[in-house]
Amino acid sequence: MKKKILFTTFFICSFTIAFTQALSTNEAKTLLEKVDASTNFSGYDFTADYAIVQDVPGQGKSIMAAKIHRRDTISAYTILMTEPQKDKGKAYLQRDNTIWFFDPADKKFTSTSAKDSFQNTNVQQKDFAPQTFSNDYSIAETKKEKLGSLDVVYFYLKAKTNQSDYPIVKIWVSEDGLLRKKEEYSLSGQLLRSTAIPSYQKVRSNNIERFLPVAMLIVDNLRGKKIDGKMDYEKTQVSIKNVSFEKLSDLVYTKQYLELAH
Amino acid sequence: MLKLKLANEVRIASRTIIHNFSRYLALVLLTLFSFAIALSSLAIMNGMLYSMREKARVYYGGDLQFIGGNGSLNIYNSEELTSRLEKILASHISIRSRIDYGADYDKILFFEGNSVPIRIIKGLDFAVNHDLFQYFNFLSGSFYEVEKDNGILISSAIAEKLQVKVGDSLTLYLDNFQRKIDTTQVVIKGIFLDTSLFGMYSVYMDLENLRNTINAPKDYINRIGLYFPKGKEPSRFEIENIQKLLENEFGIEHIHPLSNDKDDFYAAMYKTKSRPYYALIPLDANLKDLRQIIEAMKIIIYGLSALLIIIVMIGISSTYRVIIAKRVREIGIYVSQGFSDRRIALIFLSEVIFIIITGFLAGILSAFAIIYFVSSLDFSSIPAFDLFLSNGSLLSRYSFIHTLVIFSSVFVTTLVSVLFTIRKAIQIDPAKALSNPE
Repeated sequence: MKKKILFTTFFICSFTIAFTQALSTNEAKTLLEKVDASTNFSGYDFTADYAIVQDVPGQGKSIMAAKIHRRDTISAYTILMTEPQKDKGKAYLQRDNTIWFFDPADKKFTSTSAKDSFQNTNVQQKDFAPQTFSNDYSIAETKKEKLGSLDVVYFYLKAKTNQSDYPIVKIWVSEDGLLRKKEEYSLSGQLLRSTAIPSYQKVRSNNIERFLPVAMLIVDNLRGKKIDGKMDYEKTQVSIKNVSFEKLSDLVYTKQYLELAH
Repeated sequence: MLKLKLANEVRIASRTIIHNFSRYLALVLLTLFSFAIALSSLAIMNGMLYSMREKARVYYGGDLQFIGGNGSLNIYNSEELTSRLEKILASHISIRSRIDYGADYDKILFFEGNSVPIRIIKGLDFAVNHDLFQYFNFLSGSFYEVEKDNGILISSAIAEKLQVKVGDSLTLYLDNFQRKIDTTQVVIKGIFLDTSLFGMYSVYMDLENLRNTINAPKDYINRIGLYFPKGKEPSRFEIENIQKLLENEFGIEHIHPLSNDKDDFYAAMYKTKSRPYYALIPLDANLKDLRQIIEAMKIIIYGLSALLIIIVMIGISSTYRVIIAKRVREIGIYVSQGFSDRRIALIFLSEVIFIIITGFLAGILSAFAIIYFVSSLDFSSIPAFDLFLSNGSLLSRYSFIHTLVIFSSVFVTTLVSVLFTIRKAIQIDPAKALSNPE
């Protein structure tokens, strides 16, 4: 009996040590590059319909929809608002490191920043662009963890440059290189924003096969409302469907297209 | 002899007015009303401009600001600069360093999920800035002990939006000096009333605490305020003298020519990255955006005063035309008794002077009453009007010069126009005048 207990204890400890041990530097770097690659569609165009549900505690939910076109080879994207009706025709264009917002009401373009929120939701403009963790951050710590039922690798990343979006980022990556959870922190370590990606969909189009999130839940960990003594934070759910990798005209990534599209 | 004659004419005039006061009452009231409105409007306008200037002094940092750096508005050697300024400037000028953490950086205050973006964080040494904050209208708390617990002073507008009170701990989210997103906890020490564009979304912190919060170097500031004693703002001559002292101390190539346009200086400074380049900025240069409002306000009040002077002048001279027309017989008696035209004119002019002086004195008293009443009202609920208020009320600044100008204008213009009317009336044949039934 004693032997049995000893064996079980030894087995549990070995398993825990093996699972929680840090990855080698190279393994960690490779996995991080894999995460970046999984969000990058260089070499072809990406088109999808995004359904965005914004939940502001005390104010209820608002629903919007947008059509996204991305050409990561030239770091360009176009977002056309399709719902609600009052916002139809509003559009964003990223070209040459500048993000333009087009309002059909006054037919004017105004520049916006990657850190700015998208249509007053918790989605930021940068969320529509590929991730660049391996370039912008250095790996401070890694360890294997369980995230729910998933085996994941936890990364503690520190910004290498002042251009990085957040000074500290924690991410949880499944072994297939897909991002499952992300937490963004201030320099002093306060949690500012969390993103969860519970499930992915396999998409095949134009002979290209990629994994894309079915939905993402973005929580703003500063904005919200205290209800019955408990903080309820603002959150935005983004669902992605009708994905296509068909080639698009160059015109799609121009201001002219935004003016014509509405 | 002349004195005696003059005394006679004044006596005749005063007797006429006293015996027929009801005839002149309307004129006295018109003069009183005009003086009262003109003087009180000017005093209140002066008070409004004074309040705005005081707010601007707190907001921009003194009557004069010394700013600059090597190609950007950053001073990394504040102690050295301050001691050099102390060496050359007169002892009555108070030299105070500060950080204005402004528009180039994101700054948001959070409390239990609510957020308010803030326009500017001002970091000051409260030990040497007590005098400025004594005039703040604190609704709760105060500026004492703001250095403790990373204290912060916020406006009532921010407090209402965040639903916070003194003692609450807020999260301050900002882009730090290295442009990295950072957060820190700040504790509310005081909530002040200021709905003006200067104060509404401005917050105040201790200089050292702000330096640590934004992770700036130890000796870092971005402006030095030069404060003159309260109520003794520097004249153009004094400003030019200080400019000369700065040019001698730092070298003419390091000091921008005195200008009322800050943009000129910025353009020159951004080009001179290899050497420090500073400027002396008068407070008026910071009020460029408000200049139109100030000018419009002055035009309205000066225009109103001029209009009232014209009303008094026209009112008295036209009324006198009627009065004289009714007193032709009296003029005839004066002429028949050998009064010269000059003496008759003096009688009527004495009456007018009596009316103007009575109206003026009563007008001053009424102006003080109006000012007292208006100053007791609370205007703080009017959005954006707080810029011109002091502790929520209108302040008045009575000006002797303005009073003198208004009185002289009314006096001279009215006497001239009445004299013109009198001269025509007294050139009448005495026989005709005496046959006049009135």
